[in-house]
Amino acid sequence: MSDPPDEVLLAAYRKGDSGAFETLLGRYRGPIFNFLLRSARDRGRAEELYQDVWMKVIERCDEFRGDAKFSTWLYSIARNLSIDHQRKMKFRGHASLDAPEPRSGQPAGDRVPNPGPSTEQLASGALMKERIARAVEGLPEEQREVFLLRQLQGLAFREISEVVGVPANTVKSRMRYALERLQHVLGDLEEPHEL
Amino acid sequence: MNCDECKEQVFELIEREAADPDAVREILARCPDCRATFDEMKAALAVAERLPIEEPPAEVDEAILRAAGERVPRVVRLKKRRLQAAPWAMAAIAMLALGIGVWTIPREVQLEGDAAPADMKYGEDAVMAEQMLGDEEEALDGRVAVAELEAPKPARAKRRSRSSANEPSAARIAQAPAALPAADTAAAGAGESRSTNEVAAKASTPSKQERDDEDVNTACQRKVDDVERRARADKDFAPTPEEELAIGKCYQALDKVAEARKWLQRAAAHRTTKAPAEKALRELATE
Repeated sequence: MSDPPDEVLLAAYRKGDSGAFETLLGRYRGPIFNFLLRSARDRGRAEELYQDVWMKVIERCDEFRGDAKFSTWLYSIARNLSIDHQRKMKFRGHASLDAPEPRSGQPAGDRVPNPGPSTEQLASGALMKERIARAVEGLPEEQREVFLLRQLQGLAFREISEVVGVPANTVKSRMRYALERLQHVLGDLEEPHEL
Repeated sequence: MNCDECKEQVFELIEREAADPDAVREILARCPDCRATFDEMKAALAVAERLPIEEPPAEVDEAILRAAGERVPRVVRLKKRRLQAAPWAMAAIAMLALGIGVWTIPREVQLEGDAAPADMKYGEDAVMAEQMLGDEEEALDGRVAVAELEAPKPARAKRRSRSSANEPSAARIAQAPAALPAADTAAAGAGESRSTNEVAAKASTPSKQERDDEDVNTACQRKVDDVERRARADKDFAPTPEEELAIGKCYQALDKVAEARKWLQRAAAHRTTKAPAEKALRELATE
């Protein structure tokens, strides 16, 4: 028996079925948390935002009309909260990883430490994962959000375009630029691939 | 297809969304430069797949589930809805009443033989027509009450629901049970316009409104308490423009003009909430 669609679960929750909400949370908890984590670049803030996202879902579930998919709606909430948070950080004078550094002229996100060991040594190591995480966090905001929506949740480009409010072709371009940038920063980790 | 177009399509090929995958593959097979682009893109995707995935804290999930469990299903509210027919419906009723009045004049004259003075007869008919109009308007009010309850997004309710969008669900739900019997009764009595109208009128009696206001007041207070709690926990904390707007609208719904103005002015200072806050301030001024 196939799993019920998200929209059916949300409708059930609106009628009072808490189990349906738990299923929805189980489906999206990981991707949403990681989306927020890589966007906020701070675990504590990500946890707050994560809770805020789900509280908004609980508060506003009656407003969901089913015109869009649940995932589109959910990620739109997450994205808006994340943008608000980043705006606040800018007001408070936190340095952006996207901003060029005065000394090097390069964005801080590009200044990803290369610890030196070979790819084989890094392959299963925490250092490599940390390096990838920092590289993703260092992507420009508009590329990062597209990359994360695609990579973490596997959203279709059309759905991503609804979440971020730009045409699907622009989404594809941003994804391509994000990959080129990651390739530039993490090129030493690459592996050959077949067609 | 040339090399530039091929490079543009490489990513689409990997994502299986290329418009012409065979043409791209053909160029990749013979062009080392295009092939290198393909390899780089593929390698970047492979590296990206190793992005570490972290788990949210279990206690946060538990708190979310607790909050989800505390929510009670929402029921349609009747609160503060004004029972008013659409202008076109009023005009149609007036025309109908006038038509009936005009139609009955000659017949009455014919039946009674020695007619009363025409102006006097017309005056009586006019009174009768006005009474009918009044009855039909009341009946229409009753139908509108039912229609408003059944309609998914009535225009007036839409604004109200938008303004209450940020209220905690529990507060919204707390108002619902009182509205439900009135709604059900009104719907059941759709054919009996007067009784429906009375029920609808009962639903908006002062005591009911006072109870509703108390609930909204509680919701507003909860919102303010939450902001203050977060401010205590984090000295750098500042409420988001959306929160300021929501609190302002909350007070606006309560007709607490001074408080509403204070919060709405704060929200109006932010670019993102400027337009709705200014709109609410304008509404506040007219109210």
